[in-house]
Amino acid sequence: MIIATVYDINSVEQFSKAGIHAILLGAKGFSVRACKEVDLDELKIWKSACDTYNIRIYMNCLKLIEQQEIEEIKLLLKTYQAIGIDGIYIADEGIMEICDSMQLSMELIYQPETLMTNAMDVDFYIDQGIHAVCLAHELSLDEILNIADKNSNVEILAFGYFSVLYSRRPLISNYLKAINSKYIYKEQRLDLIEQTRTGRMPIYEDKNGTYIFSEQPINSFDQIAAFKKAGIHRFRIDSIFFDDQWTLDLMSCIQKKQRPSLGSDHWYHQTTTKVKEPDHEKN
Amino acid sequence: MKKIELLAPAGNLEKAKIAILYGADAVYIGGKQFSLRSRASNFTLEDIRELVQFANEHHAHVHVTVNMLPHPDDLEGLKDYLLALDAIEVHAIIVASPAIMRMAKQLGCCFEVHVSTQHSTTNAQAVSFWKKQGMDRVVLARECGLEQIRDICEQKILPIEVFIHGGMCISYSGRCVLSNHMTLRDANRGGCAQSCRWKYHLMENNKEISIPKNLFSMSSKDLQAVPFIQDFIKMGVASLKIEGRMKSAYYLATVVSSYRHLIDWIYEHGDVSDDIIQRVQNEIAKAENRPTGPGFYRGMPDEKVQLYQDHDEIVTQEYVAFVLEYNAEDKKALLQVKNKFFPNTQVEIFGPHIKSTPFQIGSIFDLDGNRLDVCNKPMQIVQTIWDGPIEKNAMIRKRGESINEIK
Repeated sequence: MIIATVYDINSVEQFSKAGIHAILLGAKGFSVRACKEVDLDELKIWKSACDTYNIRIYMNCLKLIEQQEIEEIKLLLKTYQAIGIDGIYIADEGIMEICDSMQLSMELIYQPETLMTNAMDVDFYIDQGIHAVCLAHELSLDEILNIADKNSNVEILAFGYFSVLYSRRPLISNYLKAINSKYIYKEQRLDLIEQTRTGRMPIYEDKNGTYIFSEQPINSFDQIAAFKKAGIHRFRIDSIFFDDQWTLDLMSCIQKKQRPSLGSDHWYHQTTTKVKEPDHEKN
Repeated sequence: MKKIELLAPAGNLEKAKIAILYGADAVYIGGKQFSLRSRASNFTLEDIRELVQFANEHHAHVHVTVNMLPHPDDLEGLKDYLLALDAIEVHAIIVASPAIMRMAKQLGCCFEVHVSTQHSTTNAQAVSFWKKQGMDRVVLARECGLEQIRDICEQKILPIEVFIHGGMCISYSGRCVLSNHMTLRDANRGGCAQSCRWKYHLMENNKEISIPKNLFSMSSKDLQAVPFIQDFIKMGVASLKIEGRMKSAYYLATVVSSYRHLIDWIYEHGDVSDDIIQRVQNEIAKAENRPTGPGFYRGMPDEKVQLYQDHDEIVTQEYVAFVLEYNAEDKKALLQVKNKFFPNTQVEIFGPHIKSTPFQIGSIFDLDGNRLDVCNKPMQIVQTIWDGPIEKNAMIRKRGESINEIK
C-alpha cells in the first residue's frame, strides 16, 4: 500500500492512475507538518473525489492534544467516522483512548516520528488496536528488518523529508523578536545551516510549533524490495517542500524501476551510538 | 492530605545522599543500563542497593530511570535487570518504552511504574490510557501550562508528576533526533549532544535572516517554578520534579533545600507571600549557572525565555567547603576544601537543618596544625573553630551578590 500526501484535489485522479492507494490530508487545527490541511466541508469534497478514483483517505492528526482541545477533537473524530474517513495518523495516546471510548472504528496509525525503535514496542501498540506503527527514522536497515521480522504491521516513510525536531515553541518568531528583526515571517520554509557546516535543514513554524527536517529527503528505492520481503506492506511518500508533480514523477520512476535521483538512503547504512564522548560535547 | 513529593535528581551516590539529607522525599537515578544521561555517573546495582537502604533510613524513596528507547540490540538483559531492581526494593522505575512498562508489570514487580515525560503526555485522556495499562504515575510534558495541569489533576486518574526546576528540552521530549542527525549520537539512548544549543545561520534561500553576531539558536532558559509551587499543591499534583542528574552536589543541596523550605512553609502557614517567593528565588539563584524562567507556566514561552547569547551562561556563587565533622564541645569543625578561599573572610553556611546564614570564618589550619594563609587545594581537609550555626554535611559558600541582586 502506498500512501502519499497531496496538495491539490485535481491530482487525485493522477495519483490513482500512478498506483497510489491512499492520500494523507491534514486535519485542520490538529495536524502537524501537513502538506494540505482541510476543514470538514472541504473534506467531503475530497472524499467524493477519492471515492470516484477508489483512493483511501487518511487524516494527519499528529498534534499532541492539549486538554482544552479534547471536546473539539472528539467531535472531529466522530465526524470523520461519519464521513467515511479510512483512518487517522496520531502521535498522542489520548486519541487512542478517545477512539476506544467512543467506539470509533477508523484505522489508527501511530506515527510519533521517533519512539518506535523495537518490535516489542510495536507489539504493544498493535495489541492496543493500532492498525500500523510508523518506525523511527533513525533506525538502520538491519534494525528495521529485525523489527519487521517479528511484527510486520509497520509503516515506512519511503520518500520525503522527515522531522528531526518538533518544538511547541515559536522558535523562529522568538528569534526574530530577540534580534529585533524587521523580517516578516509567513510560516514558509526557511533553512538552518550549522555555523561550521554547509548542509541545510528545512525549518518552519506554524501555530502548533516549530519543525526541523532532515537535510535531505529519504530515498528508499534500493531498500523497498528488502522491506517487502520482510513483510512490510505500508510505504508513505511525504511531499512536504515539493508538489504533486514530484510525487507523480517519483511514482513514474518506481514503476519503471528507475531509482529517483533526489535524496539519500545513508541513514539505512549507519547506526547511531548510545554514548556521547566528552571530547565531542558542545555546549 | 498526603504531602506533595519533592523529587530530586542524582548522578551518583554522594549526590543522592545529599539530596535526601537536604530534604528530597525521593531521588531519581539512572542505572548502568537502559537509562538516558549516559555521562551522569550512572549507578551499579550495588550502589542502588546502598542508596535504597540509606533512603529507607531517611524515609525517602528511590526511583530508577529505565527511560531509554531501546533498539533491538539493547533489550538483552532487561528482564534480569528489572527483577534485580525489584529485589533491591526500589520504589519506582521511570519508563519511556511501553514494552518495558508492560514487561515490568507482567513480571509482577512490586515497584511502581511511572510513565516518562518522553511520552509528552498533555491531556487526561492520555493519562487514562496509561492507567488502563496498569501504570502508577504519569510525568507530564514540560509543555503543559498551569490550566492544563489543573484540569488533568482534577480528574484524579493517576498521580501526576510535573517538572519544577532545571534544564528544558527545546523540543517535546523524545520527539527530537537532531543530535542523531548532526552527530550520530542518539538522543533517545543517552547520547544527546545538545545540538539545539549550537549556532545556526537562518536562511531564506540564499538570503541570511540571522545576524552574524547573534546566530539562530534553540536554547531555553532553565525552568524555575518557585512562584507556582503553591498552585501545584492546591491542584493535587503528586510530585514536583527537579531536573539535572549531571548537576553538582552543591547545586542539588541549594535547590532541594530551597524548595523543601518553601513546601514546608506552605503546608505550615498557607498562602505564600511575594517576599517569601523572592527570598527562595534569591537562594536558588546562588547555585544557578544559567538564567531561569517560567517555562510554559506563564503561557507560551517568548524570546525572553530563551538564550541567544553565549554570555547568557553565568557564574555561580562559589561553593568553598563542605563540613565533614563538627564537635559542639570544642567547636572544632573539619572542612573539606572545594574551591579557593581565604581565612578570616565572610562566608555563608547552609545545611540540611540550617537556612543560609552569614558567618565570619576565622583562622584555618591543616591537619598538622599549621595555620593556612589560603585554602587553595580542593579536597584538602582543614580545621577551624566555628562558633555559629553549623552541622555535619553543611556547605559553605562565599558571600556575594546573587543573580537576582545583580539584576
